[in-house]
Amino acid sequence: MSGSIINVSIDGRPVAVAEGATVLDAARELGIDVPTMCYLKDAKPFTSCMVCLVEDTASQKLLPACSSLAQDGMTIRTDTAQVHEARQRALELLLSEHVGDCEGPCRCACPVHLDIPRLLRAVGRADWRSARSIVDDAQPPCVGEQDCKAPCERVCRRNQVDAAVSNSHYGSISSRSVIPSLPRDLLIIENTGDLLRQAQHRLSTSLEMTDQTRHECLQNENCCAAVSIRAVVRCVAGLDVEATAGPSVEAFVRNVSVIGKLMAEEHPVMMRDVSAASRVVAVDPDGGYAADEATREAARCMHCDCRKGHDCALRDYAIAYEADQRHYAGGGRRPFEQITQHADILYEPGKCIRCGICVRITEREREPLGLTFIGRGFDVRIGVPFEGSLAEGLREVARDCAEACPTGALCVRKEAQQ
Amino acid sequence: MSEIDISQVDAIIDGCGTARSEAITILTSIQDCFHYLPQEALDRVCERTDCTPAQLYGVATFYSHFRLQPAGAHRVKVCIGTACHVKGAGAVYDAFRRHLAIEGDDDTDADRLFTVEKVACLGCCMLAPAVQIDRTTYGHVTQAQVGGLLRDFLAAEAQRAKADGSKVLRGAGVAGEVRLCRCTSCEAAGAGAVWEATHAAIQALHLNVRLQLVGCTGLSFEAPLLEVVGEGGDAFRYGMVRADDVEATLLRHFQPAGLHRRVTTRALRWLDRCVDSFEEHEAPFRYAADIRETIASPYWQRQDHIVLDGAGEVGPLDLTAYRARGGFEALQRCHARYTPDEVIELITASGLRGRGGGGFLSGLKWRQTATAAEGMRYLVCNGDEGDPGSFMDRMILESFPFRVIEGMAIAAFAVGAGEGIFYIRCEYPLAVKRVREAIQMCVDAGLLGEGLTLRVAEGAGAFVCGEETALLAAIEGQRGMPRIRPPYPSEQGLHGQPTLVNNVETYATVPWIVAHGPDALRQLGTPGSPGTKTFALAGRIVRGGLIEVPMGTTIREVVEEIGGGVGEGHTFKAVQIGGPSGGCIPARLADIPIDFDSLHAEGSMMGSGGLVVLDDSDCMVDIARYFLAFSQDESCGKCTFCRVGTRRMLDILERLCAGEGRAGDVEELEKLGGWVKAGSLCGLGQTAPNPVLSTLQHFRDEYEAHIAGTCPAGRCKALIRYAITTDCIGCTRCAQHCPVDAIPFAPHERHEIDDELCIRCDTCRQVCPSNAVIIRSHNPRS
Ligand SMILES: Cc1cc2nc3c(=O)[nH]c(=O)nc-3n(C[C@H](O)[C@H](O)[C@H](O)COP(=O)(O)O)c2cc1C
Ligand code: SF4
Ligand code: SF4
Ligand code: SF4
Ligand code: SF4
Ligand code: SF4
Ligand code: SF4
Ligand code: FES
Ligand code: FES
Ligand code: FES
Repeated sequence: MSGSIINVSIDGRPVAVAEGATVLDAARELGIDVPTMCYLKDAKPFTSCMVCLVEDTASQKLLPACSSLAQDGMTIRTDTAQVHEARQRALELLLSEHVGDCEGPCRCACPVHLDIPRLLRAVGRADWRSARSIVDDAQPPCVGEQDCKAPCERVCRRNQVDAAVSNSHYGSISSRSVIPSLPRDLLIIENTGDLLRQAQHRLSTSLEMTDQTRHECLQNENCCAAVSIRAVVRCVAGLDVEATAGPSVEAFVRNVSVIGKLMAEEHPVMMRDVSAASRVVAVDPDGGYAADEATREAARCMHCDCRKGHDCALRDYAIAYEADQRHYAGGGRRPFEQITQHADILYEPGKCIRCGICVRITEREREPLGLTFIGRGFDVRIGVPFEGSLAEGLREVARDCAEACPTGALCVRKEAQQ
Repeated sequence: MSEIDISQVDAIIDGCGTARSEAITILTSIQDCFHYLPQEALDRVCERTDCTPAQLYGVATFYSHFRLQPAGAHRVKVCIGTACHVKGAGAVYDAFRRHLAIEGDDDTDADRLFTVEKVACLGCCMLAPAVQIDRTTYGHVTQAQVGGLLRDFLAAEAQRAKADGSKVLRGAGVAGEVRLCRCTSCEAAGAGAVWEATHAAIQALHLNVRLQLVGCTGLSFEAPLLEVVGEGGDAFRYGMVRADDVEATLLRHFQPAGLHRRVTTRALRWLDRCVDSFEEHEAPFRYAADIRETIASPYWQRQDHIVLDGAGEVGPLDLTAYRARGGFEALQRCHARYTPDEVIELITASGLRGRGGGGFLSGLKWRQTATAAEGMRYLVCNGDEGDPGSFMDRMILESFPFRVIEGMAIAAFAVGAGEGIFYIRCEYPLAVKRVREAIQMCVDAGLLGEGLTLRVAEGAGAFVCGEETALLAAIEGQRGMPRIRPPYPSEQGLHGQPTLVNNVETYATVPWIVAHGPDALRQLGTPGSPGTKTFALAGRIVRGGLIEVPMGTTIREVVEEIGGGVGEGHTFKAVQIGGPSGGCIPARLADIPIDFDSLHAEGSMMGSGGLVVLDDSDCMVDIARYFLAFSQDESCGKCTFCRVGTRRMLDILERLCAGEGRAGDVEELEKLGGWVKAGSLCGLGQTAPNPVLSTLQHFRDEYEAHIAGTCPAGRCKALIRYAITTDCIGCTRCAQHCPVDAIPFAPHERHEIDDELCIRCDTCRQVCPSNAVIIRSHNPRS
């Protein structure tokens, strides 16, 4: 019996596969793209995410392509309205419990979409070439122009954290969250020429600041809790390093953003491993920071972005399927969590879709402790057995797991040098 | 935490073995030993067995039976199953917590004596609300009884050690027989005390009477049921007997050896009391056992017994009696006269469909298993029965274990299986015990035939493990997460080998088919669904219990004729068939026949056969929310639509019940329900929306009413207020019973309820002798 050939048709195109092949195998054979998230090559299917649903024409039923065995005579469609909507709904359900923002508020606010958190990480490790590439990458390059009003700093989350200890007037601004008032799914920006104007318009209409507070804020640069981004940028822009071209800015920045205003209990989470010092005051107020000043200031950034922003299946599919993260929202969000016990990787449980890829990898590679599913149902989570630390759980395959994780739940801490 | 005795853990491991697949057995034993899973014990298991930490921790946190924190000395399990839910189990649960002053996330009282938990169904639905403390089950528990019940338990606990073992009195020239069922339900209704009292009375009065333990009579609504068979063989049945009644009852039938004065006076005293204190204790029902002409007659007339044959007559572990009625002849006939193939033909020809819910043709499944790849084949009996509101499989296993064993043995012969496993949920300790004993007896008697071993695997508290692939994972010692089918278990099941999975009742029907021939089954039931089906009839019904009727019997016949209709003053509103995967069928469709296809056409499902009757006092939105909450809680958490989708559906339903519904909620619920059905991996998610969708279909107006801020049935707490009318006679009972003192004590005056304090527990309404407490609609929006 085994070894026989199975004929199926997908989107009207016939294909022959070996017995035991899945519908996904058959589709890939034809070059038909089927999204997958929990699928792990060469491992037993887990069938969890359900974004790979396709339609069986005969029964009109939806089948998960990754794990449905191809059967002789099957006719499958991957392109019907039902399939599209089913995938969209699956993504929306996953997003409804997602805790994490693809991009930091600073980058969203920046008219040229400078990747500020990544820049600050590069500066923080004194990786000037990478930093310069990131700055050059913004279009048009941000040079920390004096006439830019630094909206990045105004929306900087650090305001929310330090505001509690600050007795300055800044508290009054930060206590009302400016972030949720931003359009959630930031525009799809295609015409970079219009970028600045669009962004400025957006900011002026969406930031709920009176001119008075805005004025005060800008006057009081030094008492402000925000990371002093403009000064860092000036520093980097002024450096004489030869940068290699970094990855170009994504054609558009569509953001999955749910965190908004931080909950009080999230402050310590966000501030873990972050410099608690107050803003670095530049010795030369006009010329930006000196290199060491910039490095110190960069250490104050809480890294609100997602380390996997450029490589996240959830984000990519959410954009492709126009999934609306608010569709099933309403249950309130869970607190943002970050597990920093591991030297190489970060674990942010709020971004986990329980696809089990990491669990299967640790099992396959015989990680001594490994990872496991804990609990069941809606609250099932991934963790180290007996609540051990992530460092104990992932001794051998931490990077493999982070790379295979379809979202930013497990991610590599240190970005590669450019 | 205190150190544990690691040698106990070692002994457990030695007993269970060190294979990965033993994980659940080992954990269950550890938990039985320490009442929780101490970390040292788990470490030891990792060290000494093939179980990995990831596996053990995953399993320990998946099954609700396991706990990682020390528990109190006794575990109070309050059933919140369907039948218990409609009878107010939620309030009983709250009452236990209040009584023991347990607050917040805690589940154990300060003295660490009692741990209070919720369970899905104790399988005693007609005695709802039911509560289990350790291995003792209590029925009809009210909030007011909670304190007394705990005291009673502790007192009984102190006595338990003394109990003597000689249960059955036998002797030459017995004048008569007294029969009593001691299944879990009957125990819950007090059969234990009745048993002890009967035993004592027989001895005290020197009666020449045999006390006989029998299997379920099905008349659970009258439990405990004492049957007295006199010298002439005439039998009388006494329903709802109490220990106090026993002596007098026996005296009606039997002459004591020497008629002591003491006895006579005692009997007289009993008669006096019976007249005096009618309020406290209603005299037991009594009627001749030839009941086809007496009050319970419709209860029997409509029934046909295949799997319940011998109900109330044969001792559950009386192998001789089972064989005397033709037991094991079917198996012997298979061995002697048929080839395995012919047996499969026989089952196929009978048209038997699986009783576990799906109604898959059994013959076809047997055929697939028999023709699958060479090598070891397994047989599994699915006794997980997690549907909150059904208890048929429990009663079959407890009362007729030999019948199921015989069915398994026949199936093993037909498909060529070498090992058969009973998977029985741990909430059914008596079923586990009896099946184990029955297997041993069959082995000792050499009945199973060559090359077949049978054993019991205990579940650990997960409804989803009733799903066959999850069940197999559980037997393999893993988290009970279903996997995609195909491959079906018949091709790749336990340990990757072909495995036949059938339900308890399916197996129990098999011997009858072999004995009577396939056509006999087709004579019963409908063409599409031959044979009979057992149902657990519960909810708002006069006579609840275990029934077995031919397929095709209408809902109305079951509810009105067999069950005696809903209570007085109420109207029959709907039945919920098939538990959380089934749906509600409204009273106006009560004439549809109960069979696989008709129910399916109405958006319901046979499920395992839970049949909960609802009346006008039940809110359909609340019922839908209840079932969805159950499924949501029992979801394994693997696939997106079930894990997150059911949660989002529940968000909406909770909003509705809290009076916070929004426009568009009903439509969203309907759409999302459709997606959850279509996109879920296993039967749990695929059917979880059924209760919601079917109530939406038939009772949409109630949903709309909730959005508008009213609960027509007066059930949803946020939408009602309690009030006391002028009918109040000032007896103070409500004030005495209110758990939160919301009713100031005002003797001889009309009482009043403080809305701010009232938690809407309904106690006052239940205890008020003059029906002065009423429920008023309260619209939070106006
Ligand atoms: C969530 C869920 C729970 C189930 N629970 C049970 C159960 O308690 N008992 C049972 O026999 N079948 C149950 N089933 C059905 C089994 O998967 C399986 O179909 C059945 O045991 C096959 O036996 P049958 O063909 O004799 O009906 C359940 C299915 C699902 C999806
Ligand atoms: S995990 Fe993906 S979707 Fe979530 S924040 Fe990161 S990039 Fe965005
Ligand atoms: S200062 Fe630079 S980084 Fe900040 S908003 Fe202006 S352009 Fe963007
Ligand atoms: S803390 Fe860093 S990442 Fe967050 S908003 Fe401020 S600069 Fe951006
Ligand atoms: S951490 Fe990543 S790989 Fe692991 S289950 Fe979650 S989403 Fe999947
Ligand atoms: S449908 Fe529910 S129970 Fe079934 S696999 Fe999916 S999450 Fe688990
Ligand atoms: S007044 Fe309220 S809290 Fe008190 S018994 Fe009545 S319903 Fe319960
Ligand atoms: S890829 Fe198929 S279910 Fe996740
Ligand atoms: S015993 Fe409570 S519902 Fe079954
Ligand atoms: S007679 Fe005991 S419950 Fe049936």
